[in-house]
Amino acid sequence: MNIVSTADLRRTYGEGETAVHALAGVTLSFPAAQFTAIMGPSGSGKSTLMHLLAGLDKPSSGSVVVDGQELAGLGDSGLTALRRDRLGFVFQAFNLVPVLTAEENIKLPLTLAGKQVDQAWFDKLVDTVGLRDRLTHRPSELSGGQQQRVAVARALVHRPAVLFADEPTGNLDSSSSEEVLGLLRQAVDEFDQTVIMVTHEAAAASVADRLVVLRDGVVVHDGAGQDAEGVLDLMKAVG
Amino acid sequence: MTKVALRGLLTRKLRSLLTGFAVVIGVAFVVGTLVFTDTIDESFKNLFERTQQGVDVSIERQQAVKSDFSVPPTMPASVLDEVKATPGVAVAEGGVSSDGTLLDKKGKVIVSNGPPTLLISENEEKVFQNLDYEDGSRPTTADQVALDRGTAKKFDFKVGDKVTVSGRAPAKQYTVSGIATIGGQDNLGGARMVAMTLPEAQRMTGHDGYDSISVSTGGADPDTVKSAITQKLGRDYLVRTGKEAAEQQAQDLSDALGFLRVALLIFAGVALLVGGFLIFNTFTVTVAQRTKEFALLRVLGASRGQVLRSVLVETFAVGLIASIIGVLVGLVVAPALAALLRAGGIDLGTTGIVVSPATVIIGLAIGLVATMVSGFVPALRATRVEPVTAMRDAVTPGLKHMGTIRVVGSGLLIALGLVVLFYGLFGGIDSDGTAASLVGLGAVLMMFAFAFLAPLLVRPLARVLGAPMVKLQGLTGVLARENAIRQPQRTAVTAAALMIGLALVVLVSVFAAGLKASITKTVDDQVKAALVVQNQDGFSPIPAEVVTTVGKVPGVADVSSMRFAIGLYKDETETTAVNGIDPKTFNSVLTLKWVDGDASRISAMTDTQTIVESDWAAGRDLKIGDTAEFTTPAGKQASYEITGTFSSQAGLTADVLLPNTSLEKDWEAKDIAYAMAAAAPGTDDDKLAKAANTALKGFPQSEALTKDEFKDNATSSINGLLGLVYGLLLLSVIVALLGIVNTLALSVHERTRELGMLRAVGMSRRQVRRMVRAESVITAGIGAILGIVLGVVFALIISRPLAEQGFVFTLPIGTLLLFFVLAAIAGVVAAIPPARRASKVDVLRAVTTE
Ligand SMILES: Nc1ncnc2c1ncn2[C@@H]1O[C@H](COP(=O)(O)OP(=O)(O)OP(=O)(O)O)[C@@H](O)[C@H]1O
Ligand SMILES: [Mg+2]
Repeated sequence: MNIVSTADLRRTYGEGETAVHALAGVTLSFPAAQFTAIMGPSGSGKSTLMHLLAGLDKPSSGSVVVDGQELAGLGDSGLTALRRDRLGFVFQAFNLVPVLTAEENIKLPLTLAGKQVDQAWFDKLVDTVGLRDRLTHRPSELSGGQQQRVAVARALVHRPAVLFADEPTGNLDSSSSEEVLGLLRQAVDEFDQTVIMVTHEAAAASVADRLVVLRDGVVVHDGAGQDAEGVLDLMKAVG
Repeated sequence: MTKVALRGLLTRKLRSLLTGFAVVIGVAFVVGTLVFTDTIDESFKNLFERTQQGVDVSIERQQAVKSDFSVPPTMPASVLDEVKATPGVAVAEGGVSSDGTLLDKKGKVIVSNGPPTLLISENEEKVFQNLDYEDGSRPTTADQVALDRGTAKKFDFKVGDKVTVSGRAPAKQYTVSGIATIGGQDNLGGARMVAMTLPEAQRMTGHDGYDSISVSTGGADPDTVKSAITQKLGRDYLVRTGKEAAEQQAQDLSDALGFLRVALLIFAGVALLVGGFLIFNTFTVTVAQRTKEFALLRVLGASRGQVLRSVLVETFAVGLIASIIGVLVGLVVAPALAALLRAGGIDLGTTGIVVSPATVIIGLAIGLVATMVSGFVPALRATRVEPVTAMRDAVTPGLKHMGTIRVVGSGLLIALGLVVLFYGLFGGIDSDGTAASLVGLGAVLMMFAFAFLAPLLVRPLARVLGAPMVKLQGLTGVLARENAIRQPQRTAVTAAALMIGLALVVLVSVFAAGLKASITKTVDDQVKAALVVQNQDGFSPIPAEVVTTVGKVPGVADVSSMRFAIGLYKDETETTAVNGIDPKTFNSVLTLKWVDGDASRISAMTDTQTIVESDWAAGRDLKIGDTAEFTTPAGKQASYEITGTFSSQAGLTADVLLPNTSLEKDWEAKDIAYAMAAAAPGTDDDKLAKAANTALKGFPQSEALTKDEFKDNATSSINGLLGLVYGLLLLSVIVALLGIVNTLALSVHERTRELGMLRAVGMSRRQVRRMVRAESVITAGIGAILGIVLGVVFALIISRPLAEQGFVFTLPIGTLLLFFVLAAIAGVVAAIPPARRASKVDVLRAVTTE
């Protein structure tokens, strides 16, 4: 079953001669419990695609269906509810509310929705991300890697239909990166979560089950996951 | 660098606008006050010049004791003959003028807290006739009067209408013979004018003789004639040329209204002070947000001085533009102030506006200085930005290391403020003005101390105030609370701005509550009389016949009349108020709080004896058996032996009590201020008041009040004044609310990314708005708590000297709670624009910028 699917998705910035076709017709579908990495050179439309998939932006044309819902039909409050209840996010930076503790940050989607926390699930997550002793700390008291781990836990706490990550390791050193990627991998393997991650690091992409490569707003490769070297070779081939 | 500064200003238009707005309001208030009072001065000057037209020399009795609004005593009619016999006098005519009462068409007394109704004699001599009859003609019989056009218009009187007027003589119905203007003006500065023939005016006012004599020299030099008359009449008479008289009258009035100028300027100053806090905060936040920009400039080689200059140039530009706008808005404020005072019952009947160059200069200077002073500290901060900041993430410095400095600093400031306050209150300073300035200075110091300490109080107060919100709103409440605490300085300064206005509002309301309680207590404790008979306006005198009339009402056992006069004790320059009493009946209407003596001292009082207030006596080293010597308004030196002392309570009596007979003889105080009537046993007060009022039909300006009505009257007049003060303080509160809007807008802007992230993970627009609103309410709540505490502290301290005089300190808990709730509501209102902005944050923009 596909959790997310798009049909001839287009997004154009500007008009006339200066128009930029950030996405020029993308049709993709993402089955459940799969880890997809989206790659491509800078400006190829990766972030744009992710924003459209997550309902953060509206397409110029084409459709996006997430968890059975056509996004075009949803208003702001519908999209808000969808994000809150069905989607998880990990951004490159600035994922956490500075005035809330790690624990409060993790529970944020649930608290916003006024829902009860599944304590067993929460404990499992906290242990998985290994932040048991950091729960009462504020983001400013955590390292960059720890902050991203909190963000991953936050993105999973409400068991979303799909987790979106845009360059989640972009600001991290290699060992922190490995931890965060390992977590995402675990989410897919152990918790059957669906993960869609944008990255331009071959090492990051190598943990994925599937590799999608964009170039100039179109899909130029869609295939099985590769190891880091394979990814690099592939990028060279399509770039 | 200047270009950088000014470009910065343009890119932050909205913020500069909000900052400037605080300056605009303050400057506009100051300019409005100056324009307003200048206009009053100018219109009175014109008016008096006009009324003295044709008068070459003007003669009055000297006022041995002069005070605001005091009038010269009446001179005997024989003086006119002496003047007429003086060489150089071509034409001379005497006239009278006194306050009176006018009834409207429905027979109701026209009451006002402002300018009075004046009964004047219309001149017979053509040269002195300065009323222009636009309808009808001057009164020529004892049954005719002329009215000013303003009064005629307002109360719909036309020539031929009947109108009832009363003065010291009972009310009488007249026919309106004419409607006049004075020098093109509708009336005499808001006063209602009733012109009568001279004999009728003398009869109605009870002025046996003339209050003034006008002389025309028929071309001879006024100064020569003036000297001749002076020589003839001697030192008891004030002889001036018409021009001198007009100037002096205008000056006297301007001085008498001086308090108004000062009071309004104080309110303007408060608004400006609050505005200063707002400017300070905005510039501080802007500088913090631009840290990276400054650091970059420094990296590129800008010196500290250049950075400082660039911020100061920006500050100056904001100050200048805002001050110019403020001056312009001030021109609109002036008529608004007049309208506000009119609503409070003070109608000064001014027209046009007078803008002197001084007003414009003062307005601009004040606005610029206020802006520069408030902007200087933030500018200095900008220069401290290290170039390396450009390379790393800017972290706003914590507050911890500031804690001790703040506690010690504000402690010292509070101590200093208290010392100044207490010195002003108890330092035995002779000049009231200096003492009041010291009290004001002390209060301002304490406000600054509180504001300086406030950042440390933000956390605990936000915890308390946030608790119910966390309960009600959950996460958004928590976020609101934490956001308020995040930048304690910012929240503190914003709250402190509200604190200032609110502290004064609270001070005034606590004081008013205390005054009301004191009046109630004093009346309950000391007034034995069943009725108080007074003029409807509460302060004008009542005719003597009123007292005899009330005395004849069945059920009235005793009537005791009271007079008032002011005199000078020995060689003092500040006047002492003197109370004339009826020794025979006094004890049946009032009980004094005796310090030395008892009621029998009153009944045994002779014309050469006095009973005085104990503090008044102590201040002059007087004790029982000593002689107190006064200069009276009649110019006499009068001495009285002190036979008792009492403690004054809430101003029910003056400091010095004398028999009415002495007051009449030595002080020429013929007017009865008010009277009290004791009831025969078993009489119902309400019925007695009704009977007395029926008996007083002929004196419509007088009324008989029961004790309860009297209390209500006194408290409601306090409420009227309170309303006016609230109105004037409202402006400062509005400035403070703008401050909240501004601070929140800045914070929202600063937190764009965070808000975007919250929206991305599922915070709804409503939740965002609720969060901002709650933060605003917390900030306003902190301001309210600080303001209420400070206001109560002020009231406690400032009322100390009054405690001995029976001031009952009461906390109007209900009112204070209401202020708190209103502040919270104001917080909700102030949050509307920033909350809207926050909820409209573009999620995408927020998560992708940089
Ligand atoms: N708001 C915008 N207005 C105009 N053009 C835009 C806007 N956002 C993105 N673009 C353009 O759309 C194209 C795709 O941008 P996008 O951010 O999706 O690229 P990306 O693959 O995420 O690149 P990177 O790896 O650098 O993050 C780019 O050419 C970019 O310049
Ligand atoms: Mg991108």
